[in-house]
Amino acid sequence: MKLTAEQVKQIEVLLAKDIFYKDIRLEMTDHIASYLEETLAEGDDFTTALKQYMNSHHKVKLLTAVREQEKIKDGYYRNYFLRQFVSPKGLLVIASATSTIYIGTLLGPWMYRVCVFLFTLMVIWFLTGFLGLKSQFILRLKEEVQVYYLLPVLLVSQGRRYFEEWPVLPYLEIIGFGLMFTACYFIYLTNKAYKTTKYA
Amino acid sequence: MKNSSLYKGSLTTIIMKLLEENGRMYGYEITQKVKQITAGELTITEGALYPALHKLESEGLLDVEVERVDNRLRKYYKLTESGEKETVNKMAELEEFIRNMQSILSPDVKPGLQL
Repeated sequence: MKLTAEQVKQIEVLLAKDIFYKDIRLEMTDHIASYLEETLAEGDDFTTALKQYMNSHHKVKLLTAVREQEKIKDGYYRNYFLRQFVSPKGLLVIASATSTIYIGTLLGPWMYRVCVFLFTLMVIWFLTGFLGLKSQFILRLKEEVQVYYLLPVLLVSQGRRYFEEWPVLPYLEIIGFGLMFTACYFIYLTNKAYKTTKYA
Repeated sequence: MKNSSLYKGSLTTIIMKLLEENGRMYGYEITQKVKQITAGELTITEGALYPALHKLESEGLLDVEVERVDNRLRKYYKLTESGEKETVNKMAELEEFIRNMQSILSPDVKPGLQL
């Protein structure tokens, strides 16, 4: 018995809360739909069959598979993100960002505030999808490590309060901001890699 | 998959061999094909199959094609060029393993005649 588009949609909706990655979710939807099409005879009730599947060991096995696949995908994108920092292009971006901020600090003390403002704006941008740039990479990171990814932001923003007398603090701030802006750019590139998924 | 470490170690070889023979296949189709070939003796579970497929894909041994079939998107897997070479290697490894096992289990039988 072939499933209708509405029935397929029902499966996808049920999986949505358990599966983060769209491509994995669509593949699992197809798996369940194929199973139900094979086991359901004409006239059988789809909703009851789906409910039975979702409460059976099949779903547990399916979610075990999903967690494994998510681990593979997380690792792939994490490496994709981190590898960029040690590439020649990455080092160039870090150097450019740090130099620009350094030159800015020579122009006036307002540079620090500009950097904090811009970085906060970028974090909001990635999290809320402002201008259509919602970052799947950050959303996944947030899901995995809660809010701890915001620690660097907190460290830089609170650094002045606790280490004001430290002579190297301004330089560390410049390097810190340089790295954070570079990370923003690499998050943008990693997000682009997410979007090249063949389920786009 | 059937509860045996002997089978578990050969999962990727089974997948690659099936893809070599059938061109391209989707996940559910692979589970059913294995069940059919082994007359239900061997069952590949979702928990083992999909992570293996994704791992092979991330290693560049499999390529994917997505098509809309029966109101949903379906992901087909097929061997890449390096996947085809790797299948030959894996099959050779498996055949050697079987030969060695036969030599150990039935030392009187010439292994070359058994394959």
